[in-house]
Amino acid sequence: MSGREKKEPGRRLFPLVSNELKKIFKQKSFRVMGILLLAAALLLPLMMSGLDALVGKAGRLEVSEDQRTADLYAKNGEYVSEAFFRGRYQGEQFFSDHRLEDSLEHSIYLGDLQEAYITRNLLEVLSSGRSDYASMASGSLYCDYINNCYFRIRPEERAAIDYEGAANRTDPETEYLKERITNDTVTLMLNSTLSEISNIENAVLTFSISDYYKELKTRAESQIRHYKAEASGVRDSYVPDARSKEVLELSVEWLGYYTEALDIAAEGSSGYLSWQYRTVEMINSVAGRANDVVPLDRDSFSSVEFMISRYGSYEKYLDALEKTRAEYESAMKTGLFSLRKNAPLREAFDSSSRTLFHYEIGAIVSFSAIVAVLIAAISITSEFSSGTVRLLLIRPWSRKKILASKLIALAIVWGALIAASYLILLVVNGILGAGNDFFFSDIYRIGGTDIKVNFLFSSLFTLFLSTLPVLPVVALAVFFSVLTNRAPLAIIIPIGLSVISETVQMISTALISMGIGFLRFTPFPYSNLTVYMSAAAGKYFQTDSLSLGSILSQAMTGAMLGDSGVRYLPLLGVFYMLAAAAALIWAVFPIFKKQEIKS
Amino acid sequence: MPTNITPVLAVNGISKKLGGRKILKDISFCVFPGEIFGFLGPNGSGKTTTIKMILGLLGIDKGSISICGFDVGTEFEKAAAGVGGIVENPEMYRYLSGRENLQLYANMYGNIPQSRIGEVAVTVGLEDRIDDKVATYSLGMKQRLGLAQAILHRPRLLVLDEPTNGLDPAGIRDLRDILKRISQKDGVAVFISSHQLAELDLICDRIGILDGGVLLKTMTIAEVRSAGGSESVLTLVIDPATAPMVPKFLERLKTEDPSVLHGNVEHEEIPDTIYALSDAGVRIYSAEPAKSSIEDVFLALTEHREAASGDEKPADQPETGGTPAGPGSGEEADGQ
Repeated sequence: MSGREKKEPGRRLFPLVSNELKKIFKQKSFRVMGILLLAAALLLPLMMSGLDALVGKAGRLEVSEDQRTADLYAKNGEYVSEAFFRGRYQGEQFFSDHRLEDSLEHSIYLGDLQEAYITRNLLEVLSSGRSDYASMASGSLYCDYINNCYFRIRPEERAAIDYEGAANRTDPETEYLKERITNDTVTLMLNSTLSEISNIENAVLTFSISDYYKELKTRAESQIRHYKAEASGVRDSYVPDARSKEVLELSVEWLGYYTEALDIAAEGSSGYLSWQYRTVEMINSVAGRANDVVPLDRDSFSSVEFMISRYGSYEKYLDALEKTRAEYESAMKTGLFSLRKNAPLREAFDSSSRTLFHYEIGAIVSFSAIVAVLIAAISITSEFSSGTVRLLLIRPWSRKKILASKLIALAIVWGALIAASYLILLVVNGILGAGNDFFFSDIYRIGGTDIKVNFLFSSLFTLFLSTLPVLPVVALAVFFSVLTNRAPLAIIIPIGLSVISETVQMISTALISMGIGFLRFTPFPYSNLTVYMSAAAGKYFQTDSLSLGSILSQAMTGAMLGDSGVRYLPLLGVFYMLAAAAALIWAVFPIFKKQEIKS
Repeated sequence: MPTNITPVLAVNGISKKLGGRKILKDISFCVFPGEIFGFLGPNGSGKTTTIKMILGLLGIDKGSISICGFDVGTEFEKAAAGVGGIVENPEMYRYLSGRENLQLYANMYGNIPQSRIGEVAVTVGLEDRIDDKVATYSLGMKQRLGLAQAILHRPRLLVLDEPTNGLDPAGIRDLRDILKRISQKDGVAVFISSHQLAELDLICDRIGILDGGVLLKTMTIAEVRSAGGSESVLTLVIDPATAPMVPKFLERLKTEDPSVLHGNVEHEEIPDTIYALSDAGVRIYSAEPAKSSIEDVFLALTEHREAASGDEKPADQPETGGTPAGPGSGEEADGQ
């Protein structure tokens, strides 16, 4: 992990290193720090999962409220409002009864089923005489449900409504229907609604994901045919201009990704896999953004003016659009790769265990760095402050070797702490996340190619990337310890620096996006290297539920970095970290060699 | 002084500047196998600085130091293998036991058997407490442990800076016995700096006197003894009631204590002086000539130097400048 080995030919440093290791292990304060770190590794995932569950539960709370709200309205005799909330609850209840709360059917059919139940309830209020249409229409918004139901069974009557002349004083639909909602009509609507409910429930219970994908594909193909026709000007009398044609053609091309995704998803799934559905949805949503990336003509004046004021020049506008287009394409390609290789992207999960795990790795490495700083500073400076250095340096070993043995021991202890905490995190997260996405491979996009990396190697890579930026921090502690022989400075400066490093990174990336580009070549934007490693596709997933994981992945992908149009150089960041650490360690040897032990 | 035996410690023309002030000026001396060399000097004379330079804790500005023939500057590892020492207070790791501390140091030499540690603990009288944490040790025990780590690897040269500091009388006697034994039986050379001139007087074979960074003189103990010339210092213990009967020409022998008479008397005149006193009726309990001691020589040399250089400073006041010594180095504050 670090290149601090300094073995002279002839005598091996082993006895010195084992002495230093013994000194470290025998100090109670160091043992306590080590144990606290391991305890943190144990508690952190439990805490994060707990937090995650809490955040998730906040979303669920809403549902049980509906029933209570309905009861409240019933008590007060407000049957119309009760009908609404009761219907919402009943729709949700159907899915819970069949244990389908988290299923794909739930996300597809919930809205429709709830609407049907609400409509039924409202119709029952009308038929029981507890309210009439007129008061429903005047007092509440709920009459829309009745209206829609009416026009479902009598669609031809929509044409009769005079939408223009109503002068917007009243809702024209309601005006029209006031005389027509009779008892017979209500009965008709009720029957229709009841069979609608039964249809939806049946669809839910006989839901087949692959049939559903096939249906989506049929719709997509018809959409493609529609666009093709529009583009070639054979639809009605509509002839598209050059730009519109390009947008249509690009949409057709991109919908191809979507249909391919549907094919893969349909053949692959034997059961419900929500991550596949979410990935397919992501590809679909990106495929529909062709309009975003086809540039506006320079000649279409007013829109272009706005673009120029935003981007700075027409050329920069074109560049930005090119970059976005490339990003959309790579997002869709990565999505396809993910489906083909059965390697879900983390953002396809409401709450990804992988996201939490990788976040925890970064956090534990940072904690371990604090421990390493303390051990480095104390184990070096206490020799001076207690005077034991005098009896250490009169032995037949050069100062270079004595210092080297201390640094090697420090590296061993730090390395062992990181390894142990990593293993604890691995096991605990594995247990907590086994039902979730923990064991799935990750996708990295390197040089335009997607590669699938198994969960172990992916986590080790994150471990590596998290450790790099703290190497110079610990090296700084060593440097100041040897230079000043005093612990406080050697502890405060490195820890202070690591605390502000995230802020420094944020500020420098903000400045870079405002145009101060040369900062890309400084080390400042690179103190957290993990943000540079995530695939762009992750940004395009829609999360409909809040979770700790989704909050963290927003933070960790550094969404801001992608949008700014700047090319960062994470490899340069890696170089800076290693070079800084190496320089500091290299520098301490001559300093220590020449030091006069005055007291 | 033996001239054809290789010295264990050879200090050649060393000078040292610390904090802008010249602490040592062109010091040269040797220590030979089997001899105990006492290094004396007032506070601030540069004793500890010299010792630190011998042991490699301070750099050598000018000159050279070699131990067993190996130059401390260029062949430190080889030179250090042959020397053991105590500098200022011997500080050890408080969270470890005495044994564990000694084990750490033993590991640094590589060829020391486990039994040696127990052996050394017995030698310095710590066998009962050797397994207790050093944090529980008294000053005297730490000093003993310091001696233990110095002799652990059977060095050819022992360099000891104030080794009696904190020792009780039994401890001082034990130290004296150990040093005499290892120098006489094992041929170990001992270089010892101390303020306890009476103690040094009992064990040293040679002494060197340092003052103001200059090595004033080195002498054998025989030379010290005869330093007073033909005069002796005579001390008589008498019955105080008979004190008024001391003849007038011997009144100079009276001291503050009426039961003690003390003063310089030519060696040949001692018998007549005793006759004169007893004839006068002075009842004499004992009469003892004192040989010239290290203290006599030391004070003579250093006071003489002060008088010669016109300094009004008393010998025990620390000179200004230099960094102060670490805590616990006894009452003295050696300028470094």
